[in-house]
Amino acid sequence: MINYIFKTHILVLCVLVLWGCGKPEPIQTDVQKLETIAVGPLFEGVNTATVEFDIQNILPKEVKKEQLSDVRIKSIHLSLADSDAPVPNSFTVLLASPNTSMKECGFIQEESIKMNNYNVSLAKEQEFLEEILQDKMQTLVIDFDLKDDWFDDFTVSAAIDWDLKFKK
Amino acid sequence: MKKFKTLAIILGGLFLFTSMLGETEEGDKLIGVWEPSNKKIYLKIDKISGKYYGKIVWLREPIDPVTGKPKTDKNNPDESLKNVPLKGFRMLKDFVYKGNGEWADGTIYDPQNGSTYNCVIKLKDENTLDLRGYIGLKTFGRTDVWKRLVKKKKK
Repeated sequence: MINYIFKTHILVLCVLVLWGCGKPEPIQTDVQKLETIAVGPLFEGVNTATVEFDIQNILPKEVKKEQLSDVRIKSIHLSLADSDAPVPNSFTVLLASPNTSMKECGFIQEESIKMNNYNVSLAKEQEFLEEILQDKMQTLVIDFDLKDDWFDDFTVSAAIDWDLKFKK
Repeated sequence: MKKFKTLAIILGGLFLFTSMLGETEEGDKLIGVWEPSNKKIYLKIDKISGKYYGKIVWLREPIDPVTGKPKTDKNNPDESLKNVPLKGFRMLKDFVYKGNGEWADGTIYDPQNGSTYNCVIKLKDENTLDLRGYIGLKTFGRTDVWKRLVKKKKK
């Protein structure tokens, strides 16, 4: 009887330990600030600003990006660096990496921009993020629809609040 | 002998560099504005981090007759992305130049039904593309001919 209870306890303990080990742990990071640039001159219509980055740079030293799990974006806020630049009709925010497919993360519609709201409406499905962030490099792509020509560079700043977890 | 080895390494490196440069220039022939056979949209193909992507830059009918607002990607399988503006939407994604005027490993999205297909692009001549969209086997696909938008010469 004692032997049976002991074995059951050991089994429960093992299950708990395994369950605990497999559960991803949250990572505390600051909001990531990235500057995407479209090199001018730019013409009326849809243009693209990009920036390459490595998510590893915002992770704590003990965490490798290959360990990332259950990744989500909590929010993205966009802002225009040049106050004289024309305000676009809309924005679409995408992420890409060398070995994955480019994916839409969200967008800002004309109505929001008119109300001075530059918070990105995020995609509900974000499973693709894990694969992109684990790749060797990431590219943030921002497509924006210009009302007028602009003969200079166009800089869109993005503040990304990540919800990152990692598996030990 | 040592000098010969150094020269061989330099020449080898130079050959590799110029051939890579040639591949890039060849691949960049895809960059430009293209019109599919249905003539409903123009797509601008550009290069981002070494791969080729195409976005809608012009729509023949930009306004949705039902809503009276600019058309959005209403057939997107992700409910939260149905309001993404169609103007600017990236229909072609992730194409890699494979040599011999062919780009592969990419996808084409059809906003009319919200489906994504594997796709291969073949440059027929400087201003004509064959795009073959397929699911699974290339044999069971459909090919569309796209024309490059070129400046008309003044007479």
